[in-house]
Amino acid sequence: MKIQILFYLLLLSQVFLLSWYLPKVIQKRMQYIFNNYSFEEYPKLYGGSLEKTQKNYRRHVLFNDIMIIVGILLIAALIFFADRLSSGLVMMIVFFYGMTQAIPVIVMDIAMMRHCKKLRDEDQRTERKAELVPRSIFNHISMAEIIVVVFFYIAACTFDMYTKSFDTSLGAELYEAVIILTLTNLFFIGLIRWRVYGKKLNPYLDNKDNNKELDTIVKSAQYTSIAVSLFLIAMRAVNVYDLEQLEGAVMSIYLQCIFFFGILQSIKKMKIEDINFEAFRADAS
Amino acid sequence: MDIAIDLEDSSPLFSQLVTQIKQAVNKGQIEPGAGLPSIRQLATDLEINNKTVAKAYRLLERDAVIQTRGYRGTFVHPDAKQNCTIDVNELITTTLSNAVKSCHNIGATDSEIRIVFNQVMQNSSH
Repeated sequence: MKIQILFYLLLLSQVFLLSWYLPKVIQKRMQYIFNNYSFEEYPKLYGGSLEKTQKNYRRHVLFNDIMIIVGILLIAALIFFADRLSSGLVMMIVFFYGMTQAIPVIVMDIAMMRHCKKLRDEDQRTERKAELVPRSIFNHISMAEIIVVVFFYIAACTFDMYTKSFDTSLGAELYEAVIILTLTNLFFIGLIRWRVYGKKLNPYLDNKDNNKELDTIVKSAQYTSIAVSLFLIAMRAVNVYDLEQLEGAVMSIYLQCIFFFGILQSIKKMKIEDINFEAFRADAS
Repeated sequence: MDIAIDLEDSSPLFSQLVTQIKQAVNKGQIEPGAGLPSIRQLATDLEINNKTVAKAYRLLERDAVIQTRGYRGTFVHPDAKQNCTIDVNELITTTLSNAVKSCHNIGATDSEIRIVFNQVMQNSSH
């Protein structure tokens, strides 16, 4: 019973964090832009027309409001049907609800990438600038932090294989977690390499702000990698020690950690008031 | 410290890079021993060909303004500040002027000097 109550509270926290608090933070930033940087003076800040941007803003608000209602109804349904739902199904429901909550963030990221591509394609400036400083991943993360990530990766792989008694007769099943974690971390390494050593995505972002953005990306990847490792350890422990009723709670904690450490902290680090938007002016050369 | 190039400037891009890096060293904006971006990084950031940056770095290395330490990267030469003041073009002009003067003194004509100069340039490039 206590575990069930804990689970419902966690789910309520997930509804609050992912569909109320995080969207409010994002909407506040968008309002700051609308109030301080008009479309007429800073057209490059707006993806397309002002009307389209405001429409997207309203959609963002509406979608998240709907997700709050869905979340509350979902919690009510889970309470009502508690006896009839398996722990695996509850976990999947929590996962899919979390993925649906992530849609606005994913849509925004894709829109931002498209906007940056448009800015790069339309950039007619003949003057090109670059920092005369070598870029290194160690400008954004310390060796100690990398060691922590590697430690959790090894711990998760080892724990998973340990609980399977390192039984090679299991074949690929023995290495499931290793494969998942390795592919996940390779993805993060590729993402970091691309962003740190590649071309600046937004040609109008000055070097100081670009470096801050890279800091947030690297930190986000670091925390997400650790979260994935811990999640795999937790899920494996839940299965091995017959604690299936905790699966839903573990999934919810994992999703909240990803959002809190991976996204929210990154957004808060890039304070909108500190970003230099002068290059986004209509008359900026 | 930022470096800037202008695609519409009449001077070649590699020359703009060389000039700006030398100016940065002269003004103390980059210190001797400081690391410089790799050829690929600078070319990516400025959206120019790797070969343009490679040429600029080669000239800077020739003038002992920068030094490449293999995989460790490129760094400002310890004596970069004094080496920046050496103008290689001026040196070439002075050396050739003296050579041409000597040739005139022994009675060589301008066209004879040009023919021999071209042959010497061809031979030295093989």
